[in-house]
Amino acid sequence: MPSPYSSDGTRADARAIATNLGTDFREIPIAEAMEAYTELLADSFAGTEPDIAEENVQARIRGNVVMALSNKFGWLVLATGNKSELSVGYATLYGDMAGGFALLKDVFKGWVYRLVRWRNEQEGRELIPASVLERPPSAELRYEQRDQDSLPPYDVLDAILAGYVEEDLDAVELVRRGLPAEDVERVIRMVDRAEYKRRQAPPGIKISTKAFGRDRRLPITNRFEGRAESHQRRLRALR
Amino acid sequence: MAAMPMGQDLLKVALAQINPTVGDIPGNARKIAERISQARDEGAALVVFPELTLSGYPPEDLLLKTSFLEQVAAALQELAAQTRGIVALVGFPESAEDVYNAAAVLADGEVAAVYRKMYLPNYGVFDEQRYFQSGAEAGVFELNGVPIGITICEDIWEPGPPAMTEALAGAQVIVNLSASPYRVGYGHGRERMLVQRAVDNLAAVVFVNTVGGQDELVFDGHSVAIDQDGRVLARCPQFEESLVLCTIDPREVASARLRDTRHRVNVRRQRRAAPVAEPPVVHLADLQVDGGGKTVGGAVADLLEPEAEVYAALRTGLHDYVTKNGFERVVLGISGGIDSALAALIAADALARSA
Repeated sequence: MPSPYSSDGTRADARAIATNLGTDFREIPIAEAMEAYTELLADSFAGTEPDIAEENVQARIRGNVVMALSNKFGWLVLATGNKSELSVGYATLYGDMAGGFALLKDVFKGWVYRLVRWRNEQEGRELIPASVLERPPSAELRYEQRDQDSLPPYDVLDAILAGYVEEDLDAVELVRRGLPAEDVERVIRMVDRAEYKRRQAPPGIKISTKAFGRDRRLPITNRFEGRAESHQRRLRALR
Repeated sequence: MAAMPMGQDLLKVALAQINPTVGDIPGNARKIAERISQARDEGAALVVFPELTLSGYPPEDLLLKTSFLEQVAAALQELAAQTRGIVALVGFPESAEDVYNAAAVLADGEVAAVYRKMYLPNYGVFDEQRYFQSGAEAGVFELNGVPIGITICEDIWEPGPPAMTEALAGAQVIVNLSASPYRVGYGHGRERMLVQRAVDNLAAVVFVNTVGGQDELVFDGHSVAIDQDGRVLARCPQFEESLVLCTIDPREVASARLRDTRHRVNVRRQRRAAPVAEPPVVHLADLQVDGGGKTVGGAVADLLEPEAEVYAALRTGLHDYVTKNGFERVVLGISGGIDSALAALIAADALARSA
């Protein structure tokens, strides 16, 4: 479902993956639907700059398309977001989060790479093209967007999340582990603020000690700020 | 408990690692009946199924429905009526004055005995105290002269009763019916714990886990039989249904208990302390069937490497979610990024390529 922000590289790779796997593949461009939405919202959005609202419209058009196919043909929609994204809320409700089953919701980004590399090795050929493994991760919702613009590098992110989400550690304990204090604070804030999104996420397979869902139950309405302000002094002392 | 008769036969046990579907009581009963007759055909005296096999695990609020509990009870009676020439241990939710997570001993066409789980986990993904009352008694039954203690899942994670109580009361084999959900690398630790439990109790341990996906959970199987010295005698593969036969030598257990004085000392201590400190052990039944092996041990499946294990968990979980919910095909957006690539890869492996 390419948009004007989809690169030639990702478009070609998407096709190559489908061919390698022998699956049914359709390209459904969404540029016209995006234009229709722009027009639809023109009055309401008058005087504003394009931002995350327009970006998410793209993701939601795609969500709509796969849900339409699901309704028409009875296919189960797989949401493909990973645990790192779902932890920090780097995902669009009713967009890429739409679906019946979130297959990778308990798989950190680092493990996503490990599994693809392993499966390619098993096959003895590139079922998934090397370019997919090498390309910097991007949501491609605007030009030249990179996940790293909004998030720490995935190895740092996954280490923070493993401690915060799976081990219930706080900012001070994570910084003591040698993780960068600024990243720790930012990530913790993002995780806490994304609780409402996770509550609406499809089910997915638990593979970790603590998966989102019945394994990890936190309030959405939550003013506990152990995550940041009250730790400021202790964190400064550590620095 | 009676003393070990001399010249006792070997005990052939079948580990029935099956993939039930929650709520499909007739389907699960059919699957159980097939495995019972297969195990009997292969010469087993005892066949052990996972925890709550008949209902599937976890049945969640289905357990609040009277009609569900009644259907389970009826299916259990039917299964019992068909069980002859072998003893089957089947996990089921028992409706009595309250509801129990129970194991039925099926033999000679009837439910010969019932053991009720004592430790009900209520952490992580478990909510068992929401649904079940705890059993109060450790349980031992005798099969071809071999005393066998029953435990269910969490029971054996406790180093003390009921497994210890049963062993000190004479049980030479401790069976455990489980529904132990997968997480990365967990199976290794679980097997270490079971090895420890076998050595603790100077008893053979037969652990049978469920396999397959149920919503967010995937069960990895990895059922094992372990001897009193902690050696793995047999192991079912991870993430696959299988029926593995394993022959256990109860004489080895008896012999170990003659030589290792820990057991004697602990029995003495338990007798002094009982009945205050320990829950009572109920002698459930004396049963006789044909069946016994010649060579001790069974097939030992290898364990998967970490990547293969996680991949198999995701593939199994997706496959079962799709098929158990009656879907034939899945649809996903492939962006050319790594996440949708992996999702497509797993889906292609889990389902027919065309799906």
